[in-house]
Amino acid sequence: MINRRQLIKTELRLLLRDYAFLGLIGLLFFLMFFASWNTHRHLVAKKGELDVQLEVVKENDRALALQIDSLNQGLATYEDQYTLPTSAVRLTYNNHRIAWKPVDAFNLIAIGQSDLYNNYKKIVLYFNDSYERASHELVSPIEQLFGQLDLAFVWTYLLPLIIILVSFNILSAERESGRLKLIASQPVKVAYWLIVKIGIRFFSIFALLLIFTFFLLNVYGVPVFQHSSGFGELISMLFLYTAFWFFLSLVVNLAGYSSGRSLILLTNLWVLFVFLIPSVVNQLSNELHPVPTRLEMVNHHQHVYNEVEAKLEEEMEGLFRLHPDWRSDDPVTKDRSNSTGWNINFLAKQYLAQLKHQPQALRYEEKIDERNRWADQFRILSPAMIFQNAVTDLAGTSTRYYRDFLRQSQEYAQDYRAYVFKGLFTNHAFSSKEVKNLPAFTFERQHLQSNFWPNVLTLLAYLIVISVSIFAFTKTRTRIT
Amino acid sequence: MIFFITRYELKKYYRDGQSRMLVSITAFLLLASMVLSVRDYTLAQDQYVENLKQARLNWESQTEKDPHDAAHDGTYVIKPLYPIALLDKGIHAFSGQVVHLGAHERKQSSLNQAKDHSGLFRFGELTPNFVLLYLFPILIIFLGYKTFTEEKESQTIRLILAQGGSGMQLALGKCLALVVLTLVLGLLFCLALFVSYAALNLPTAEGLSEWLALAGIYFFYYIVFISLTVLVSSLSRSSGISLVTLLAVWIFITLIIPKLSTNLAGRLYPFPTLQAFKENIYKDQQSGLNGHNFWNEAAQDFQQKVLQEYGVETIEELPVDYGGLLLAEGEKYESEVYTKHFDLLKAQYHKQRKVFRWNSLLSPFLSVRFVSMALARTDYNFQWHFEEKAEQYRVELNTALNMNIAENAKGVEAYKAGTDLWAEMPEFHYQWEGTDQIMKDHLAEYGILSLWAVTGFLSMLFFSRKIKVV
Repeated sequence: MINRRQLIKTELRLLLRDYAFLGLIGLLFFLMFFASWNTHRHLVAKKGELDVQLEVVKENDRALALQIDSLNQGLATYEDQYTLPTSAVRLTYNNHRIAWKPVDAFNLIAIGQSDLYNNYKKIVLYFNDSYERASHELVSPIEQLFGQLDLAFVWTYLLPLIIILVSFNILSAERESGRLKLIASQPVKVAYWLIVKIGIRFFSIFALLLIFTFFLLNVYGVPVFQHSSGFGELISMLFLYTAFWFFLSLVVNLAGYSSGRSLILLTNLWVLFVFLIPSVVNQLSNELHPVPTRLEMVNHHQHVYNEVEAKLEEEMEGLFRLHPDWRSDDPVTKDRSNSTGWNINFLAKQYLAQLKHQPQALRYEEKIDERNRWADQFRILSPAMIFQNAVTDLAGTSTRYYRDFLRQSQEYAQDYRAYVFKGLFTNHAFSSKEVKNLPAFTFERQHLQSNFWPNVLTLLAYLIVISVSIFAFTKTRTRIT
Repeated sequence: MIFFITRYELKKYYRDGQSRMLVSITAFLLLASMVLSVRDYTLAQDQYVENLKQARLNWESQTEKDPHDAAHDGTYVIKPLYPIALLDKGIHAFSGQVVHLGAHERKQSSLNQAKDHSGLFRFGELTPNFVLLYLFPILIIFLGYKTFTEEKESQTIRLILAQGGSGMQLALGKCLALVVLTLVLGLLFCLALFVSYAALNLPTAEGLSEWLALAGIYFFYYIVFISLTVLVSSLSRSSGISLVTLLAVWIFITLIIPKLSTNLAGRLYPFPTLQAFKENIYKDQQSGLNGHNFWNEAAQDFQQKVLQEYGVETIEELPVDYGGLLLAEGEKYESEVYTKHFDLLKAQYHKQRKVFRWNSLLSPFLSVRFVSMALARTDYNFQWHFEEKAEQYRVELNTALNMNIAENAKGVEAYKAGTDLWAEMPEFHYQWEGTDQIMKDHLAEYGILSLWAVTGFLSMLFFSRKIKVV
């Protein structure tokens, strides 16, 4: 028997002399570097947008508190209630709130849906939110269509191709050059020799991937040591995904096809797992789980608003039964010729319409979640989908994270609206202390159940199935010529 | 000789199980994607008609109210889908479906469908253009990568050359075989497409020229891939190297360059943040008319102008309600400010667009994608066109509402218009941009793609002349 160490040493030496392999590794790292740089830029821009919005709120609150103090000290006077700083009308129109989702450490690995969603949501009280009107950064939809080059893209799409290119012809090239006869004449099983050869490529690529990922995360300020469990999850997923493609390559090598045929077969599998299955599942989720257009929600809201307007007196009674503490005998609140009275009337209509529309809206959101859950469970059909799901989840940039953020922001908006409207409906004069201590939004990161273990187990299941095939092939004689 | 080679190649494809399977799978995917897209389109069209009707009904069923309050509550216009959109959805899912039209403010389209989907959506949908843009070129590569190398590996090339055939004839024959195969698949697809349109009574866009323009751009695209495939195969030493090179070219053209172009365009010509955009608009608005501000300089000037026009001294003497006139004039001014800033944004996009155009010298995919989206009216130009028309309508609608105040509110306390006013307001009718204009805007794309096709084809001929028999 050939010494195992000697075999590994020889293969390693051969690998280091293989310029095609080194070139592909170089290309992979260049793409990873570029992707990280690009994502970092994207995150800096997102953080900038968020900081600007937070600063606007802070500045507006500070100015309002100062004006209230000036008013209370008799240093300023205001004729109009729109500008009166103690009035809830002023708070409603000039001092919006921000619900925000921090830019997380691991966002660097996947831009995910963050190019579609903002990391903040403006909480504005003076109109309904059925059009998502207030928080919509200016982005070219072409940019969203083509998507950004991020690490998730490099790993999901390009890493498998590089693995295929460095491993598709390990056996066939030897056979086609006639060297396999020589190898077979040595006291080593061809299947074992092949496993060692592919194994070395696998561990070399994975080790380099690990080192380079660690390096890039550190370069771009991801606190890897503080988030060691997150880094562990990332590395586990990378290991399993890389292993999947190497295992697949091993099976195709063992099947004994020619180099061209092996490459076609592997690239077909790549097209199947990375393109076809995801797009078919995506399409089928629309066909089998259709969700009506959101326009129906807009129309429904408008319809309800018209109904509220038509029966306003009755509806107002209902509102005061729901919020008895909003009822006030202050004549200012009854007189629609002043801004407080007018706005009570106007905002009550908006509020009531929103309340009536809400059950329908929630049912609609639930349908979307159902459709997405349905589609997501079919990720088991493709390791690429599992991997993408895992990395975007880990990055906190998947749709479900953003939708959860929006849900949290909606809950906060309801509480905040109730707080301000109580002041508005009772003509409460806000103090600077109250302005400084307005209810603030807190984002809860751990709301959602992690998909890590289901993803790991599914990828392991893939590896086990392929291993069985490998085992079956090793039991058969390898074709030498 | 050339036709003999072509016939031989076609026979070979027919006899080869692997080629037959690849062609069958692609044809099946193309047809399946079309069936699904036709279904999606008819559903979307039904929803569009239904929601449009409901939106108008909502507008007309408002109660009696101040017309300016109605303007504030607003209405909305919905983006229509052009018949060709079933082939190429373009940015449709990313660009929002509805534009809200309210008083004093121009808004962007909202309700971005892509947001409602899971991350899976970013893998793409099985639509005809997905098959035509990504999978068809792969099919060409798989069928043609060994077109020359196989002859070299089996030494049959010596026989062909010995019989008086030249490398160029060989290349032309093999190229023609791939063209024939592509045309057969293309025609099959067109046939299925026209049957679907006829059977389901779908509208057939503007005319034949549009369809020919679309077919033409895809044909050029495939000529590029066919030429590249034969070229690489003729230059490669082995089938493996040929396939690897062609796959790298495919990835570069269809995946990497479009993403790099996006990054480059965004970096060179970024859009402003929403806050900066709004602040700039706010600054410009401060110096002009605002329908609710009677006291600033612009309002004072406008008041003088109105008084002069009516030949009176005071507002009270005016035969119309001054507030209504101010609101109407203010709306026009505000809209001009919005138009100015949205035009700046559009100019920025056009600069980004130039980056994509230059980069299509590296990737013909970009040219095809942009022309295909443009003809399907699912590109960014369509979005601008639609939003601009919606803005014109918003001003028209608000002017009519505000003028109703001017004409009827004089001397009336808390004027409210009757419910019949809402039905009298004009409806929004969107006119698609003509194909001629679209073609004119995309001449550069056609030019670049032709350049690709001609260069690819000539390079193939040139290098095949110098083919080495190893």
